[in-house]
Amino acid sequence: MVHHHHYHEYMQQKMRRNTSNQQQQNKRHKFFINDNIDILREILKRLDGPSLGVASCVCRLWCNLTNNDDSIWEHLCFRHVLTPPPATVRPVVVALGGYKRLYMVCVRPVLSRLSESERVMKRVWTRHEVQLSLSLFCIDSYERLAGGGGMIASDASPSSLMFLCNPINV
Amino acid sequence: MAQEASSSTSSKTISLKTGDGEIFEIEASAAKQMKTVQRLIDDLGDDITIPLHNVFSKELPKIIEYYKKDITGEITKDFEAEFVKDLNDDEVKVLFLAANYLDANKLFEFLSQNIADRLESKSVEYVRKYFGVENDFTPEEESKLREERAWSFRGIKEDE
Repeated sequence: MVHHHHYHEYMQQKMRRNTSNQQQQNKRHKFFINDNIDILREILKRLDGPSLGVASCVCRLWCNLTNNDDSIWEHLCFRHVLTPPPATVRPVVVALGGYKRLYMVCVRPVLSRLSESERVMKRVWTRHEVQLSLSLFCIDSYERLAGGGGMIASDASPSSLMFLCNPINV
Repeated sequence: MAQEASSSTSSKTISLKTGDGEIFEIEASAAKQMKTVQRLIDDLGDDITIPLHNVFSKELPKIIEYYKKDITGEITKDFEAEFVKDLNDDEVKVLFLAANYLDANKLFEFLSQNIADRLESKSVEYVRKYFGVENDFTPEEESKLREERAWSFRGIKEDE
């Protein structure tokens, strides 16, 4: 009799503990990332280029962030650079069209030429690659001022920089 | 008298109580790395069990493990890789949110990068589901966006 009673108590305690595990799950404050943009930004700025493209398709908020928050692209452009570029670089880049444009027009084509796929092996950029990207960016800017094409390679004139966006045919 | 007792923090331990009522001990120097905890200690004193309403017994031990390594200066890339190796994407998210709540900067940054790495080459649907975000684009808007970003979608596991 006594044995049966203890077992019953034991089972009740076990059930109580199981429901309290459930309650633990429910007690967790519901976290919604779209209400915590700072946290969302922390994740976005650590994504690689193609993943940012994917992220911009998630919803309107993410699309707006990836389109309008240039600091996300700034992180992306110089992520693998050993020493960050000097502070004097930023106003120039912003004046020439911003970091997103720098990435799309110069960094991305250079990176994809260095590797087979868009998802480049993570390696440290040399100072020269940074300089190259920035120089190309300046050239792109002047071309636009002179009435050149947009970011699509096919639009541009033969002498344009946009040949960089074409795959290599060796 | 009380002042004397708390003057040396190097070997003092702090008691933390999780949202589900379990108590864990950490070194005072580790507590310093979690700004939320340190603030509570400053307000409540270091002899009281510090309540952490939004951190639970599932994740706190892992966080304590990280900061135990941190105070001995032993956090290496290998340690960090090992730390997240057996965690699934949801478990990492829980840890990440706890690190945010605790204002534990080093762990938060590490886990942000880990989550970003895990999201690489995942589909849009996977990312939406992971964060519980709803698609508020019209089908036309979405397909236009995807077309513009076609270069992003090479190599994505679409059905994941």
